[in-house]
Amino acid sequence: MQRRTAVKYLFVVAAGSAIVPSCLHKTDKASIALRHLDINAEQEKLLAEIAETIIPGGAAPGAKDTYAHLFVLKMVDDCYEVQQQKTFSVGLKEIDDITKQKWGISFLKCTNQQRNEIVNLLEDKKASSNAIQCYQIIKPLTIQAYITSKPVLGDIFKYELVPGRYNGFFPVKKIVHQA
Amino acid sequence: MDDLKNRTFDVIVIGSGMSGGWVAKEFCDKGFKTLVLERGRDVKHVKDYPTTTKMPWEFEHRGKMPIEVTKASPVVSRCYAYGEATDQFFVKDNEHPYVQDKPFDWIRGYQVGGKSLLWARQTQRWSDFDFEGPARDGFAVDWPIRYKDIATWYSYVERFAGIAGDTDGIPQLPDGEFLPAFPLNCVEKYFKEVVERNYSGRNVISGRCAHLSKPQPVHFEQGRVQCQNRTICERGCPFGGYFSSNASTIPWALKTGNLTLRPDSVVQAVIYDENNGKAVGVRVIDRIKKNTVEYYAKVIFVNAGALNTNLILLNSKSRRFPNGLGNDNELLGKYVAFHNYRARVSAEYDGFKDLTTDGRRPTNGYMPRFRNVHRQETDFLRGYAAGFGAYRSLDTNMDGFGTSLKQNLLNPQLSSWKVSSHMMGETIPKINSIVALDETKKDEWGMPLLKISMDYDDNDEKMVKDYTEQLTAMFEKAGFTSIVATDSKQAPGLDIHEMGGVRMGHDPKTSLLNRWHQLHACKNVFITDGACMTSTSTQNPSLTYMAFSARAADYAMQELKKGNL
Repeated sequence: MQRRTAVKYLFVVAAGSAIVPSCLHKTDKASIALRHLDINAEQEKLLAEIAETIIPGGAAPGAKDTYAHLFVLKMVDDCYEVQQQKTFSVGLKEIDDITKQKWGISFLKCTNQQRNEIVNLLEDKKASSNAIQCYQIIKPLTIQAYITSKPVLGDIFKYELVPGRYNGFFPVKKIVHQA
Repeated sequence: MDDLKNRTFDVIVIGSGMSGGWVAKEFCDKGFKTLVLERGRDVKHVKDYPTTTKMPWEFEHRGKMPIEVTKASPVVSRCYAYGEATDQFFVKDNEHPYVQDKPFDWIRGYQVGGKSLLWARQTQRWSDFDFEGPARDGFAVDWPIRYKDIATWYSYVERFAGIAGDTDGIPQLPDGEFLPAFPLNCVEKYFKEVVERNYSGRNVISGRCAHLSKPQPVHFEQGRVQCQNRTICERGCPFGGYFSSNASTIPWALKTGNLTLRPDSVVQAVIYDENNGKAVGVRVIDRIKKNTVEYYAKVIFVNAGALNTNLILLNSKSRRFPNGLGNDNELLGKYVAFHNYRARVSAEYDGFKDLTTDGRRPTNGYMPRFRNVHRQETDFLRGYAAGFGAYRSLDTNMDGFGTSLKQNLLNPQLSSWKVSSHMMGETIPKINSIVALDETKKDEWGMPLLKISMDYDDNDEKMVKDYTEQLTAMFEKAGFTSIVATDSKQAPGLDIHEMGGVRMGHDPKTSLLNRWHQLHACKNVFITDGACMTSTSTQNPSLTYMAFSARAADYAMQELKKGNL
């Protein structure tokens, strides 16, 4: 019995030691496990700031408060075609290239005003094809993550898992939370 | 000897889904030692519903399945109920292959409870307009039973399962034992008034459904409580708010001490003994260990789910039945059919701007069949029922970005009312609609793959057209606008109402089962799942399978007591 417990612990320790180094030494990796996308920590931050520019924080939560960028990564990694994944990765780099060419700095170092200027270009389709397509993947996923997140759907719209009622004649003027 | 004794029962039930659960409950209640064989894993009520209390944001893909899964399993991925929240209850295409001679989307749930965990929970009764259909219209064979044979059994299963509905007094949709209905909303009620004022013989009612709107003592006794209007039923319900084998019949049967439930048991064949002219047991392959075990009983119920019941019987070959058990007339696996769910009509309504809905509801409006009910009046046979629902959605302006977008996302606007209807058409069973054993291909357990061949015909095409025209006309009469009709052209199977192949009838020359669901040629084998259906009608069939199961089990017990089986 004791030996079996010891063996079991060994496995746990071994498994742990396999995980720890990747956390300690590869800090340039994205913070979530990705199977297809090759995205580093810097690009993850870039994505987070693009998402935050689409839905900025403030009194009400913004994209970053809902971890929308991680949802974007997860979805593109698991639910998109290989070609779309490539476009996404290349496009992300090309979005960053816009600011580098324009102002000689990464999107991350830009002011909010500069970031808005770049997203405006992407909205108006005035950028490289990859950058535009990448933005067109990021935006709807950011919105989806945001409006289905706990801070928004749960805390603001008061989503009910267990409504326990149905009223088919409910006065519109009595609506408190629209979700 | 002890081992043999442990493998011998009064009755064996193959399958633990909608109908098998009922058979087990009935036998166990009356003290019969019952073995239920389930090919899939065990799913215990509540304990094995891993997603049932998850919030939307707790699904890492918000309900969507990874692309590898949808590409590897295109069939199940087309099912409306399949997704991240329900993945664990659906068979993936590559796990259990089958052969599509013609496109057929076979949706399966291999686990204790089967598809009773996943069904749409609509429970409308059949009437004599359905049972008399084949005889009146000259297709299939005459049903050997009529409404009077089954009416009390409908009541019996309705009381136990718990059915919410209104007493509507509609001849082609008999009333039952109802808990309070989930009411129609303001636009549905308005449409009901328009339809019933303008057309005789057309009705819009609240769809009767297997939900505990007001649980009774018999439901509390099952450990089930009031439906909480969550409408995420396919994840399994911790309240037992809707009827499933898992929440109701199986735990009830287990409580009697008479049930042996054996999951992971793939039935290969029913064993026939030529010396006494009866089936004596069942040969099982253990799903995991792959070894073969035999079980024995006086009576065998095959409730494997319509097409799998065909598969087991076709594979139960003996010298007496070289082409499958009970198959003297070569009709086993033929005259299979389904429901035609292809067409949908949607629209908008500008009225009732001051009203909306609050909360959720596990059913919808329902229009019973109104075509060719009392007499043939169109250029197609039979007819269709229709689902009908009205709702307002939240529209969000997703233009632009930044603070204006954020403001729009946090302030969605109520849309005008939207209405939507879908058809549920009766299809005609035909001799060239067939399921058969593939000659060469076998599955992991050595079972021949099932080869499926059925399709729509001219009658179905005419019905799609008529449904579209009639619903459009009724929508116009109600002042609905932006009317859009669509035909999904979906393959048969996606309706998940496959039926027939072991049909009931009076005559052993033209049918497989008698009026008590016994194989004509092997009386101690009963079939009460979808395989027994002679015709399909328009109703969601589960309630009828439940009533058939309770009735046939009662008959089998009487015959056992008389020593006739």
